[in-house]
Amino acid sequence: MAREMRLSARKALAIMLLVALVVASMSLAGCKKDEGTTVSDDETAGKTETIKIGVETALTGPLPDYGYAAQVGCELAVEDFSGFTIGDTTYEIELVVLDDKAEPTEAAIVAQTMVDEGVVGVIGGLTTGATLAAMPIYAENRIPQISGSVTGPKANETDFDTFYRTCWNDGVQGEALSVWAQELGAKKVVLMDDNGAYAVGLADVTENSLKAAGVETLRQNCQSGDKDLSAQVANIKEFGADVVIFTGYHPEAGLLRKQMVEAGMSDVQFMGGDGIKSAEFVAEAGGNANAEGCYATFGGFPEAQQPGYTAFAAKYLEKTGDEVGPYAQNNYDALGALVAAIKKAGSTDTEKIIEALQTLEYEGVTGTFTFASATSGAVTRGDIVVTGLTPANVPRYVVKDGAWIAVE
Amino acid sequence: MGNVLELQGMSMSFGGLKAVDNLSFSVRENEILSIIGPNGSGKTTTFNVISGLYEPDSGDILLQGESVAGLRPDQVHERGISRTFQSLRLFGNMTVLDNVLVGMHTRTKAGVVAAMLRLPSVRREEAAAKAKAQEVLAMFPGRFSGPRQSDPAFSLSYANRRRLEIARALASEPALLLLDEPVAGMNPMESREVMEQIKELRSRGYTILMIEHDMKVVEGVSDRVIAMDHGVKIAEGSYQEVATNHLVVEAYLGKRGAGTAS
Amino acid sequence: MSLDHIVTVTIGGLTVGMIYALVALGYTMVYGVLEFINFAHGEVFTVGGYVAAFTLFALGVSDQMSTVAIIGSLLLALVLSMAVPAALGLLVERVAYRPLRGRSRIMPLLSAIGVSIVLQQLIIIVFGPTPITMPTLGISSASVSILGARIRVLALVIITVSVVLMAGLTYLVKATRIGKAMRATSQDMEAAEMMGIETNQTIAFTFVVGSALAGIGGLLVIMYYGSLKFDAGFLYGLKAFTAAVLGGIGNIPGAVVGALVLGLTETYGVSMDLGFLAWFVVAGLLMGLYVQLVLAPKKRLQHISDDRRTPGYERSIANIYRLAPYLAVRTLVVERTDALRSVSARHAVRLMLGNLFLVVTAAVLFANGSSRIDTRWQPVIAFVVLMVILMFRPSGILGKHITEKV
Repeated sequence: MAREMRLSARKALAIMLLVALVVASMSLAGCKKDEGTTVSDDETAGKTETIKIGVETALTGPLPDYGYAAQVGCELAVEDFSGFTIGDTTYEIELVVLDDKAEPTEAAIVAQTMVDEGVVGVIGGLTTGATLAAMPIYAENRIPQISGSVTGPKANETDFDTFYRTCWNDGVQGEALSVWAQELGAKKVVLMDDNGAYAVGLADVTENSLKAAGVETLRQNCQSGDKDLSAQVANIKEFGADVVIFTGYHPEAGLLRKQMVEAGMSDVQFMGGDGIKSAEFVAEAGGNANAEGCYATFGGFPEAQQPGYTAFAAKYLEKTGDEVGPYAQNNYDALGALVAAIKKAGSTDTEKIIEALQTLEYEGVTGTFTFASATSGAVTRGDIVVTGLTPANVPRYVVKDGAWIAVE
Repeated sequence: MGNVLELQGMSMSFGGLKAVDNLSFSVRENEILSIIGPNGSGKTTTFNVISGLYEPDSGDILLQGESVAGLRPDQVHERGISRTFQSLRLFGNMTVLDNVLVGMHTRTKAGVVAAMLRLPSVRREEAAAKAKAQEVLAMFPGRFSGPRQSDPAFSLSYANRRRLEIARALASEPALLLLDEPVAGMNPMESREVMEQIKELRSRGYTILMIEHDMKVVEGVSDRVIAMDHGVKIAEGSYQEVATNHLVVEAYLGKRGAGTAS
Repeated sequence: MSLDHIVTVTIGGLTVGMIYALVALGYTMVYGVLEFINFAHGEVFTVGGYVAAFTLFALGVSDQMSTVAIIGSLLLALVLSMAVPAALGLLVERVAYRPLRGRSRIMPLLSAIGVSIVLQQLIIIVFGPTPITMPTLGISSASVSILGARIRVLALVIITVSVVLMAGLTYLVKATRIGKAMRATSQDMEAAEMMGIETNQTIAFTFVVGSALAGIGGLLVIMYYGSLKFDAGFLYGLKAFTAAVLGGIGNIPGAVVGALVLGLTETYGVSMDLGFLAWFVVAGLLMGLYVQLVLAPKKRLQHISDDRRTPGYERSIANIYRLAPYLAVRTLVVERTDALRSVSARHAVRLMLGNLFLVVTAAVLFANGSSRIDTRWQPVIAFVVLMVILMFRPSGILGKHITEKV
């Protein structure tokens, strides 16, 4: 009998927990509804309408810092651009921020959710691999997508007219890495990727360019999330590399640099793409001493050549108390360009927005740019074309005293 | 002589089926009480209830005047009831000696930290436990001598495994020893040997409650006998009284055909 | 391939393997007692690493501090990174597993997956999604030279600490009172209970020990690699679980052996040329030949009743195994009436084909001696090795056959 009583007490507890959970989730859902889309009539200033813009970013996953910076960039843009008018209608912007964890499977779910939410456009995704999975869903549902950080050259091989980006394509960045390595006098270069779409794409471009220039290369790789790279480090040592280029993201890059230094290879030059240019890299490499002198290219533009950078950095600092995070201004511009396209289209009909984007010229923080209308050479459709900037302007950074600074 | 164990109107049912119905009996100090009865008459269920595996639906179980009904099996064991099993349940991958040492679990108390640090108190306790275990094993002369003590239990012969179960149960020096068919599956010579050993246990002062089908053994060792059928006690008394009781004869005749109980 | 390369890679593999082992022990111990996979174990490992890093940061450990202070701080971190995971393991067992014990087997499994997700989210909520990093210390990058290879002192520390811990665990399980209770519980919980063992307490203790070991694993990982992310437990958990299965789940030395095999396979697979790897195949071949020529005929004979075991019969069995290709075909085709003989013959042919496969593999590897496996194939190779081992030893390298469990 006592056992039965214990059982029923347990059941009661379970039911109570369930009720609490249901109540909690309902009240949360309720809150959401209160803030939801409403069309209210304001007699003096015409109608006010709320439109939803999606932000597909990766707040968990391997790159939470990039994801956070992208979100802040978009939030700053909403502060500046929300409340624009077309005719006598005022449009308020509501952001729908969803986390794709930088994983393709998650990204497909996020994309479908965006469609269901009825967004007029999406800023993102954050990473190439995830974006490749989400793109077809956006394209099929005719939702324009502007990414501020997807640099993979394969991103728009499918030639969707819904995809645009406000950062360089890695075809350009890989070329730049190769040129820079040669300027450093590289004879033997190890290229290492993390088996992800972005890293493999960038490593391929760089390796091909280096080989064409007669540099001896060795390709290595790891898995995203690997901790122990000692075997790869041993291979690098045996190969006798003078430059190592890691094309993945900073968590593995930091570990690789750390384990290289610990294996007595601190004199080997260490380079990476935009995936390693994060403050986290320094800590993950084991501190300033290990990270000092590591190089990175970037998919944005040199800060000095970005007309609105100083003002943007001030706003960013005010909002977060931090330096500008990676690609924050590119995301800011992406949202700005989307708003501009809506204004240009004079409508929130996504088909018209897509049409407007193709001919849009936008003056943003990073410069005045348009989007390429067709694929030609290293430039694919939807790539950013900045007035006055060529691929040679890919920015270079170096770690000095524990921080990334621009190389002149 | 006081009562070591006293069952008071104990009932146990499984999903409406009464396995044991209002059973009362007592085991006196230093006696051997046997329970007989056809298969399914509720003998092993009675053992399981006494050793704490099931909680009785009603009634009470007193061990030396204190209720043990509703306690967990390990608590019942600690109060002084130890048992063997009808289907052998030794710890097969552990050595003979370790099996006996496990039986002494409630009689030792070395904590983890103390044991890892090999404190002198722990070493003393271990040595004492080992000596005691060897003493218990020595009750079965020639069966568990020397190197055999470090053989895994599964490698023993069937009869030796039965003996080891008894040794394991004795290790805690229980106030009451429950033997569930101690000679099942043994040949006549082996059963006779076990019979002698059970008698020796009584002479050492143990109190034993036993389930047994082998009537020769029941006749040979029991001070008193209880017969059960369908969960109910149908007879109690000396072996002769019970064996000639017409209810008992009927119960066996009804179940298994003539002659078994005589 | 130079000697220092071999030493570097071997020590690297051992270090990784030892860390897998520390985590794998928790899986295997819990499985041994409850026959259930504690999927939340990987997260317990992560918590250990986070607690260690957080403690060192809170104490402000840096190289400027005195040696005594640094050692003290590390010891405190060690204690906390054992205590907090241990408490967590205890809590998880009490809240999420014990209420479901004795029900269907799938329920605690689902509960474990749920706990794993909850713990991961809790780590994100408490510490944030960015990886936690370790304060940089001189000792964590100090290194020594062994046979021309530069080896980190910390790698040697990890190997030593793990060996000591495993020896301690073996002693605990084999010789102490609670260890005997654990073994008894794992073999027959009900019988153990009726022999006076408080099984709930014993199971809880098993969780405490397993979690504390995983916690130390977390501490060693963050010391060695310098950073740890909230989801690191997933990958480590997966690999440790694989190691536990590889070694024979429920078997404590098996977990260690499985983990070392896995760790070495991973590093050797990436970094050794084929000529070196071929020697492992040769070792496998020698074992295979021993099985075919000595062990298998002997085993076969044990199944045969004494009256049929004439010397001539024994010779013919031995011949089947020794001259397998010719005799097996003859036995199968010509003398197929003798059922028992053809069972042996088929067995012999299978063994022979296995050994032949090894000969061909070794030859191919030696022929391409100086080339190396593309690192992209590493997960594939690791999986193939795993499958081959489990094909020949279905219950793991040191796993016992179920019949022996009694």
